[in-house]
Amino acid sequence: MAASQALVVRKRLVEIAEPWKLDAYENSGGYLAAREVVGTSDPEDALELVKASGLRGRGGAGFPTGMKWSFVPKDIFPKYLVINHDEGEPGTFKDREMFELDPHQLLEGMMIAAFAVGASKAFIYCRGEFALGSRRMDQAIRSAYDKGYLGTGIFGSSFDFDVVLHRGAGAYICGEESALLDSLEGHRGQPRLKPPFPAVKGLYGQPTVVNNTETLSTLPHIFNHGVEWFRQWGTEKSPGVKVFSVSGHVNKPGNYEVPLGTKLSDVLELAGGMLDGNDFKAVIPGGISAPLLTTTDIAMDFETLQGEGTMLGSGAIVFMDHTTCMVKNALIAAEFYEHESCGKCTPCREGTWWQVKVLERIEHGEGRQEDLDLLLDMCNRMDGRCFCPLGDTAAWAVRSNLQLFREDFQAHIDEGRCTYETDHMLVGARSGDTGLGDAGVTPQPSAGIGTDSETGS
Amino acid sequence: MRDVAELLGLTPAEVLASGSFYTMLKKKPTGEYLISVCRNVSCAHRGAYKVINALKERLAIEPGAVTDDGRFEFEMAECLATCDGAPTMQINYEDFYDVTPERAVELVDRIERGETVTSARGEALMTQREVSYETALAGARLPGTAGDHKARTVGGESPPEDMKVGDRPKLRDDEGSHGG
Amino acid sequence: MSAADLVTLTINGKDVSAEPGRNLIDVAEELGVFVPRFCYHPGMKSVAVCRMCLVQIEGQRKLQPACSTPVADGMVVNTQEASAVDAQEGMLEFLLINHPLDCPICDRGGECPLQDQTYKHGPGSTRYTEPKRTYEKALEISDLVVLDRERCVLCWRCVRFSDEIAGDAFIQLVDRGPGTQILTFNDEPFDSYFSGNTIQICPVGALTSKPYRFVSRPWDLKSAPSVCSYCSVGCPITNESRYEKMVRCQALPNENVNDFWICDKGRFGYHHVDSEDRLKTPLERGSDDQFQDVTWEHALEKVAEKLKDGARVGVIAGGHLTTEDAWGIAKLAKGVIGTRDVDSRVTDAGAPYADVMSSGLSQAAGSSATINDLATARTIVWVGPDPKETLPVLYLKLRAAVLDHHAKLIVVSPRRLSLDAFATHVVRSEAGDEAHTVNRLMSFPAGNDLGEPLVICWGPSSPGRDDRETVAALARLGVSREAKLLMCPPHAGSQGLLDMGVHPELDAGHEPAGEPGRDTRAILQAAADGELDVLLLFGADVMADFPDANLAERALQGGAYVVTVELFPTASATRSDIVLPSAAYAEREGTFTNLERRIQKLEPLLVPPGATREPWRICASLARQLGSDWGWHTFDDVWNDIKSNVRTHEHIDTGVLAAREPTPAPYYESGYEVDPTHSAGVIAGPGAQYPKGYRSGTPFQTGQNWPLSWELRGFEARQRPGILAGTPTGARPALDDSQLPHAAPTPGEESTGGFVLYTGRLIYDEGTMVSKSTALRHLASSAFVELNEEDAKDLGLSEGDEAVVRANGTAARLEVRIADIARGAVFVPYDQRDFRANTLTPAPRVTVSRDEG
Repeated sequence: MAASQALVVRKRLVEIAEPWKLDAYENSGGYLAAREVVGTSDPEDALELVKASGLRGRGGAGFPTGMKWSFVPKDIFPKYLVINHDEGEPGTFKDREMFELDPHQLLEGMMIAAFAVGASKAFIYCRGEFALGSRRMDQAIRSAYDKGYLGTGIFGSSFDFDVVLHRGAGAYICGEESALLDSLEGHRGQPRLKPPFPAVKGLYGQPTVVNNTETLSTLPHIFNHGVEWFRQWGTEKSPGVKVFSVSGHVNKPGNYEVPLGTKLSDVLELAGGMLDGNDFKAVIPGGISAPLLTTTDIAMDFETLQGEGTMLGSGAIVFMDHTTCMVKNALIAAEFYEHESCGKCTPCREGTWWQVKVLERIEHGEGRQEDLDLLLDMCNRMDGRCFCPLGDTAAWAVRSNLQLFREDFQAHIDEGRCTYETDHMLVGARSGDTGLGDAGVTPQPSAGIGTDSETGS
Repeated sequence: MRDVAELLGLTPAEVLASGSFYTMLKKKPTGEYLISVCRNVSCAHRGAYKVINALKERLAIEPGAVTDDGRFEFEMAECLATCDGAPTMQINYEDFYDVTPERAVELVDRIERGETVTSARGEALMTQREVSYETALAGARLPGTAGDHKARTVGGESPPEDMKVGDRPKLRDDEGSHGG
Repeated sequence: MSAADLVTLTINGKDVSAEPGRNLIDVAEELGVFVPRFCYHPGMKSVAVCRMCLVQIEGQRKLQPACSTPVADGMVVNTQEASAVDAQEGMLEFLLINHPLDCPICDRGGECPLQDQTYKHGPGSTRYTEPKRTYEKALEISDLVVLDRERCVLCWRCVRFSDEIAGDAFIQLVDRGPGTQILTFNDEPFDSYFSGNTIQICPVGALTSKPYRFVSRPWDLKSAPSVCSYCSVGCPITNESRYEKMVRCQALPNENVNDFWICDKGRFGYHHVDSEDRLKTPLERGSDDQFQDVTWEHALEKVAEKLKDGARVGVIAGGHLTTEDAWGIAKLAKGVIGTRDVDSRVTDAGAPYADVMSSGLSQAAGSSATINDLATARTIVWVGPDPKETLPVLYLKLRAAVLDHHAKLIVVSPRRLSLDAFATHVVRSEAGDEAHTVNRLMSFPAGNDLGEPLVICWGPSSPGRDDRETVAALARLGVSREAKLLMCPPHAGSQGLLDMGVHPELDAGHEPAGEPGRDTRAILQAAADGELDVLLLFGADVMADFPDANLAERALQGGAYVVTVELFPTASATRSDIVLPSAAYAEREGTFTNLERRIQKLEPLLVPPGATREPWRICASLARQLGSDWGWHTFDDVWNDIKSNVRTHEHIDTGVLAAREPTPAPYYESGYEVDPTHSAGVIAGPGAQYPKGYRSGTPFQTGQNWPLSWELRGFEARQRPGILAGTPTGARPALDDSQLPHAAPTPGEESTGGFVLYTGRLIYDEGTMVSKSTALRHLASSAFVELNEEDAKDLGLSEGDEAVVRANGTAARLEVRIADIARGAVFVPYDQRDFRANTLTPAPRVTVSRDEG
């Protein structure tokens, strides 16, 4: 079956020129849903509709959106809506695209969501590196305010809605919803103890709903066309469409919006097939946190992937061909987690540090036989014991490489070198040996030692 | 940081605690142009490290350092959500796609020569100083402008106006409960 | 809570009942199942960051951290299940991979929870062969605390303590991920009055005590539980010595008094015990005005001689004496000698403690509230000294009452106090006008922020000032609202002295004295006028502490025979005729009665050196010389006597007082040592047993556990002198004056170029004991004068200038500090090395001018 996209969230940005402008948005049917919901509906009804649609969070956790909204206590004010636009899961680039190109779509979804849960203020947490996106969103917000689509009594109704745009400052962990709330409040972006959950006590201790960009961007369409329409796609448990970010060793990397449940092989086809016709070796199905798959014959929906011991996650698909060294792949993942670990809990903080050290040795030919079981043990001792999923997924990512491609690791050890000599996979030599910041990635200089000029006070 | 602490009624240590957590908050003066090369999975699999090595050679510095003339800083970044153009990099947070080692070096050359460089999406580069201001003022509204509304301060951050000292979230019919 | 409300759960096969919502880790510990932990501390909110306490709970897929799991009915917990055991070993392995092999040189070795838990739960050997994370070692982040980041296990206890308990966020987490470290800001030291607590709670040797660095190994220490002898909060402490020399003090927990904390003064202020300057033998002044060593026999005979035959005797006792000393003095003075000129108020001379009772504000000359009442109060009114300086742990309790228990705090003061940082209302009284301000509070409608239960905290705040009107006003307020009083006398022994009747108007048990005698001022005046034959000073350095140094000097030279019982050759002692050497607090069995009227026991650690003796023993000896044998040989003898003679103390069970097993030497809370049962002391009333983990019943109090959610953080400003109110988050809502009757100014208070003088002690000063502390001595600030900004401008003075402050014939050159103080008032600290304000007091007004060269 020839795969084809089902354009919903990406429709406008694919088909219209300069879709980020308010005129372009409205001329193509924008703000109709929000206007109607806010003007004529009951918040309860709006919430029920979202529940009925079966929409699941598109950020990575896949939690049913309507259910999340229903946890918000009715009688406590003020309530907040927070948009998690801290897209940081490696391999994911769908939110960036729709935020840059179709910001009003998100704003409209926010209006509907805020109305349904009773939030009068929304905060968009936009990743710090998204300079263009935040510029566009800033413009979109201003134009919406100018037209009375935001502020007191939006669309002439009695619903007040304010939006604040906040930019992050470079921390993947702030994509975790409770860490995001802490970061928004101005603290270090470290996750919070749950319970209480954000829906009950979130931003500033108030009931807060945190939703992903894509999740909210889907809302106007659901409200425009109805539950039946939305459920025409997908499965019973994973209804609707999803934007998959496909990259890696494929000919046409990009965002592809397809019904949930589409075969992975079909998605690969949409992306132009393996790069230069190379053999398929492995695929990351849902962002680097998702354990690898070694087949493409699998339906891309939440429950199927979970059943296979991996996850749909953010929907970031990275294909790897036969030239890929899986030790390098593991090392890339391990370094990522080490840099982004917030440092709060012992297993993640120390485990990611240790993983990198051992993988580096193996990759540079200094691995020992016992290192393999050591790595496995390390992963097992991290998994399920960390404060937040970052540490758990760090364990999954490394363990998955090791379990599925142990032969790659073994070869490194046996031959005392990396056995893949592919040009594009060269990994630079490590700088330094001990102390902080030897990772070579934006080293964090130790504050407090040195002069005022160093710490820039 | 002391100034910020003074403004907010915090200790400088608290400001340091929050500030030092984030990669984008630099504790030393950066170069005029910050080149962030993604070294994460998709980009690495498509040749990011060759780009990194090329830049290392061209700029004669290690990642994380600033050139002597203060013009360029070069860092390895985590996933920039531009994997469709892997290998990618940002210069002062503007995206550049399909960066080969040659193209990376060429961009540096062109910036050095003072030529205008535009990103993959047609945006012109700003200097770090301009970028800092833009980031800090994200979402700011000047009083009196269209769309001016209460509770917005520089950076778009303000505690809710309705929060007062010692306030607890109150249930509507609970007037005076206390005791946590 | 009735039995029906308890939940039942099973831990390692054993059933236990507990209140729902209590912390699993505490319930387990009480059952005898110790769950290993680093970050969990019962005194602070749980954060579950170390992951050491993961246990298996039936029905839960993942292991759960016991420190942040509330118990529920039917819960089945297994801490020894295979995956839990593996988790424990795994966490220790993770912690140890970057931990330096410092045990041989680390102060914590031998009393280290990391060592203990590794032995019990950790891996036997290491698998880590990579380079470890390194930092510059032994960073001195303050004069008292040394930081070694390599050892840090990032349990966050120190940061949480500073932030959550002390409110001094000077030590914080910095950087991210494996590079995270604990640090202060640049060159700003960890300048907190509570910094020593972080040393005690740090589970490894990352934060260590500078005074104790390399001093001892824990197995060489002997320890004895005691009570701090400084302020009237009376924190239980343990004194520890090595080879008969005191080397350290640590806090003991008491949920009713200090939770787990003591201030740095109590912690590092023990050096006076072993000081070389200690008086060791009785001294008699010879005809050549030189002091000679004499025997006790001779000294006592001499003194007794002077006391005979209807001698006119005045007795002044200082505030750091024990309850037994107090009873001895009262019995000797009022009973044996027969004088009524007895007083124990020196720094707090003239403080109207008796008025507290006669006005109906309290049922005794003391508190009717306990410290715990602060936590359940709706409103707390504070009229008194700055607690952070003079009653530091009480400050922590007040802070917790406001921030955790949502009490409203109303502070009435002419100047900025540390409480202003979190007070709900700060009422700046006009210079000299506190009583009037309190009266205005009366008219504040009930049900607003002045609601019930109401606790009024009062203490004499400014030595030399007359507080009677203030107390009367507070009484009017308190009685009308059925308020409880927390009376805050200054010193550890102050309340005990009142209880035992060392007071001209009160006899033991707070019985009003038939005929009141002279108070301290009158006694000294009488001595100065030659109307006294003998002046007995028990631990009272009137020259340094009485708010009229001039009068004190004249009294000592007025011809009376002056007998001093002292620790050191103080200014008063050197003007005496006989000096009798006293034993210090760490050398004695005794009790202190704290500001709640809670009696707590001291156990002796050291032998009193030389020929020193307890003051009560001196009193008994003198009494015997005067023909009255009390039969006092032991501590119990004294207490039997107290119980039979003092109405309010008849029910005291000294067995309960001592119901604390000897603290293990050394004391630290790894949990594997014998669990000492911590006696809560006994109030004139039933005492309370300390249940472990009391505070952990509510680990989820705010929107998040920690850091404190925004609504609490944003409103606390820094607390250093000179920071004026008015920083954006420092604005405090003022009491709504529109509802109060318009205040007419008190006649005579107009500023005529004079300023009302306020004074008070700072935490580190020239006090007899604290000035001997080698650790704290140089932390004391030099003297200064606080001026209102407008007043300073009128005088042509600015911050840092030198001003001349005149009164009583004294002219002091003091550095100006612009401060938040009422117009027409100045503040000068009481007892700093370069200037003693008791040369200015008790003049109610001083003049201030520029120093003309």
